[in-house]
Amino acid sequence: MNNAAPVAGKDGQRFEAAGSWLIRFHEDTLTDAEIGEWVEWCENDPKNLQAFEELQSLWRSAAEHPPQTSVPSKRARARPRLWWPLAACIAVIAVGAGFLMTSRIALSPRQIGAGELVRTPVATNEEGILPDGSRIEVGARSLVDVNFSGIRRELELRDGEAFFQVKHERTRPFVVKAGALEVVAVGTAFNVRRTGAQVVVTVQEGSVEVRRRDGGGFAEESARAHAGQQLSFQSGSGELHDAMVDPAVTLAWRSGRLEFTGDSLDVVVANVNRYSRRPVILADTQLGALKFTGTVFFANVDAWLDGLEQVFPIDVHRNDPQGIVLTKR
Amino acid sequence: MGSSKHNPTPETVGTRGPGEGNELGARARAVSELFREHNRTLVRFLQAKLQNEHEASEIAQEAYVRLLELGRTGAVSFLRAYLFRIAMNLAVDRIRTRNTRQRLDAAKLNPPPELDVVASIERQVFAADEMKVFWASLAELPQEHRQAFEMSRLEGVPTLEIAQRLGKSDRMIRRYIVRALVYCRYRVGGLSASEAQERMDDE
Repeated sequence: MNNAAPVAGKDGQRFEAAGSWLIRFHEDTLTDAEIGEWVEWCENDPKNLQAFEELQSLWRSAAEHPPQTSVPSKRARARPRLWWPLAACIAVIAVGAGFLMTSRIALSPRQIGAGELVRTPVATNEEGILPDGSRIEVGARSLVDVNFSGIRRELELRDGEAFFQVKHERTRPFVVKAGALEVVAVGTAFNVRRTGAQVVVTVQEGSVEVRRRDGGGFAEESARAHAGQQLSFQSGSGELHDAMVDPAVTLAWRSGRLEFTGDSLDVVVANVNRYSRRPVILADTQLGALKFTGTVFFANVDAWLDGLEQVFPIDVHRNDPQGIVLTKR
Repeated sequence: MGSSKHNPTPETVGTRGPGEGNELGARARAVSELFREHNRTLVRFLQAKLQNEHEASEIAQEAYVRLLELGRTGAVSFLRAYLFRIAMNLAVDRIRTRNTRQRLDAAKLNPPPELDVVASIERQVFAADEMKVFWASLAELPQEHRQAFEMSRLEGVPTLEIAQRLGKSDRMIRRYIVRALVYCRYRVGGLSASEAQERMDDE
């Protein structure tokens, strides 16, 4: 081996130790003593902390750039490292000259590239700023394909849920595709949730145009939705359904919970599963048709399951290796 | 502007009697020192817990404010343990509520100047093509390594459950995941497959 050989063994052990800590952070609840041990390890040798940081970054990046086989992507682009309010921060720092940089740079959501595929892991929402300055908040276990060009601001919600705060631009419409629907906005705020064949568009501010596309991509039907309006589409019925709602209910996912009003249990379960590390499985398809109204806290899915058992003729089996299985009682 | 320096003395922790003020100033300095020393570890710790840089920095700031408010001085080792304890509790709270937008806490509205020690710590971001190398090199490892890593990282399956599914022990699964990560780190870092393998064998 080359001249790096003498330290190789040590480096290997260092990485091994860093990796073990990382897994423990991810899987276990560490005690104070264990955290103290970790802090000692990190600070005994700066190389230890560095090794931990490197593996931590890789660990995160692995979720952000999943393998491309399942999702064909046209491009391999490095993510721009520019942080949006950098200029503002520099101004602030200039005032407080002599002090270290404040954390406000890290406080900003990250910049998303014009051709990026955003994929979020289970139980983790993510915020970002699109190339035009619009803001996006992506729910857990969701997939958003960003496709911006000089003439078009286009995104596709392939799965899951996202909230958009669109920057006004007269000449470049902001288009979100989700299954058979296409939502067109100029400057507004709206949420799109895609659960299998069901797509629900909720407008918080301003208005959007929702178009339904046929197989050939032509608009078959279109409707305008204003603040407080919700348009939902189920490929089975083939119709756009219109309702007035409280957008805060739909947007509760941004605050750690999902709220449902008369939604069928299969849709509820699919959305809960974006936040539950153990999948919830409906063993009887009939159960999927039950209508659920209530709140599910991401941090306490168990309480929701307890509630289900009381309200519905359902048994919850928590010890199945496949996940949490719901059967008909 | 620019000429008025921040003044990190007692008024940042409240106006008190002169003697008490000195003591508070001393504590503020001790806490500030503590932060400067452990800031990086603390932020990494919070990032590991929260999986979110933004929240990690926020919570680090909040932990700092809480520590300043704590009405006791003590040995440095005591303060350090306390710092991580507070940070952990805040992180757990945050995970429970996850309500970033509405939590404009005092620290953010009116940050004391010592907060400047909670410096910005960006995480290294791997580019998409580096991650292509990552996934390609993961495929060079034995099947179980790849399976365990993908189930854990992509599907969020707990290691205990992966162990059940693959018929291995939890300890083994964790080892596979760690080895996969370290091997891919070497490969992304530019080592050939055999060099990376050799370093793993050195362990």
